[in-house]
Amino acid sequence: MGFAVWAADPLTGPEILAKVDETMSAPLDQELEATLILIDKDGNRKERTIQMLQKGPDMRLSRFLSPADQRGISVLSLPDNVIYLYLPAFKKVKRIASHIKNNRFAGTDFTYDDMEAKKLTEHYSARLVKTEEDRYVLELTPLKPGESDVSRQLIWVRKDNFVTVVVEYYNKKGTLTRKMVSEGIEKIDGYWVAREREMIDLIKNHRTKMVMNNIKFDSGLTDEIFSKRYFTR
Amino acid sequence: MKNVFVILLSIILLGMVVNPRLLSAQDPDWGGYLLSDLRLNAGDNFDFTGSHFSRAELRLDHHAEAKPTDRIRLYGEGWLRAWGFPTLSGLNDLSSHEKLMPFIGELREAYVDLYGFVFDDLDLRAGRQRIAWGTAEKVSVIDNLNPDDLEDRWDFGRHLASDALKLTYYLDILTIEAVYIPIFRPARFPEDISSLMPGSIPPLPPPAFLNSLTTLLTAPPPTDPLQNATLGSRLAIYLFGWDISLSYIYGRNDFPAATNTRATL
Repeated sequence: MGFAVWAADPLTGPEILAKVDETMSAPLDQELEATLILIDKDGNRKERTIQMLQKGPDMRLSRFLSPADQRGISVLSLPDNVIYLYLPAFKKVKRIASHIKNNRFAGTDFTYDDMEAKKLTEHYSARLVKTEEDRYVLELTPLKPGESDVSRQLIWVRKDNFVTVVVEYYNKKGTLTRKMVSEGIEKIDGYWVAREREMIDLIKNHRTKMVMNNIKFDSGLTDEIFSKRYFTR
Repeated sequence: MKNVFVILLSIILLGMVVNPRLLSAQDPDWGGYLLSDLRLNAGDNFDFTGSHFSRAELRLDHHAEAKPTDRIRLYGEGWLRAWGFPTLSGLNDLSSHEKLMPFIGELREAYVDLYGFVFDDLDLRAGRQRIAWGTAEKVSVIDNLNPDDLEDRWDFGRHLASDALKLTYYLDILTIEAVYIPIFRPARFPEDISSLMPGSIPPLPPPAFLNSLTTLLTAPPPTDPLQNATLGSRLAIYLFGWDISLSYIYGRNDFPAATNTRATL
């Protein structure tokens, strides 16, 4: 037992973050439908549904299915920090500039940056802050600080499966602005996944809960799906 | 030719409505919204006795989409609009539905997409369609293929769709588009043109020495394909982290331009 503790703890921050990346990008591809529940400070709720397709660690397509006035709004995230937004009402594809990636995505508490599929090790440096009984706590700082309003993140990572369960976002003044909590973590088709994610805006006292349904892995999504051509169909 | 084209598309869309299973293995997708827009002009001299309603619209938007196969997509969108105010000038007008309850139906878009048309990397879109070039949401200097729809000045940037053929070829980081619009359509102006160009339309009557002052509007004959055609092409490329596009349009300006003034004394 003593050996097991000794063997698990020597992992460094970068090594733990690499394992987080490994867990997140383990499936060849994945598709799911998510219900987004927006809850304001008075407890009023609005629901939206979204379809998400992902291939590899850095290609993701998110498309609103409802409500009717937002149906078809899509975000395409590609390698090299490229994000496109399709607004069906205007029939236009827009490139999301890096300086507005911190804007909220379609009224939710998630930002365009949150909707981007990416390897964390390519964007953040990691430092192991502390080790709890069953979790690691890492501090992530962006490798390119100018690109983000978030100066640092604290993430809680489960030791047994390297799934991130809590993320705290701090702005450039050091204020905790948002917090994401993942729940319902389970193994589906051999891959670890969180069934629910809740993003809380601590400044506006507004929350967005994302409940994942119909999760499928390795269904053979082609690269063509993650292109501007498919994006606007 | 144009009418045949529109009628054909209408039949296809009607077919989707009447019997979706005839055309689509999947259920077609429906959507729409209801918009009620009643505007009160609360200007400097507002009081409750004047006629200050400036707009009344009840709009039912409805769109339908079907994908019979992976390579075919049909799309149609229409507006049904109860529009404007009753215009009554005599007793007989009370029996006129048009004057009591003005109503407009508009086919906003109706087109078919053929993906992998002739070549795998070539897509064809045929029918009434909105072709939005540029990336700005409302106004773009290269968004000139469709005529402007200036009916509502608070919705500046809206366009009417055009009956067109559009070919798009995808070659890695390069996208090439070619557009052919056979029939020229001018911009749609607001009912009260002075609200659009208040400085340029003098509200005064013609000078006393003129018997008449009229504005004649001429447009290319609809039967002449050479004078009506609009052609456009666009090349877009993603290079070194930048989206770059180059476009060319051969066509008419959708705004009227004064070429001749004639006064009758």
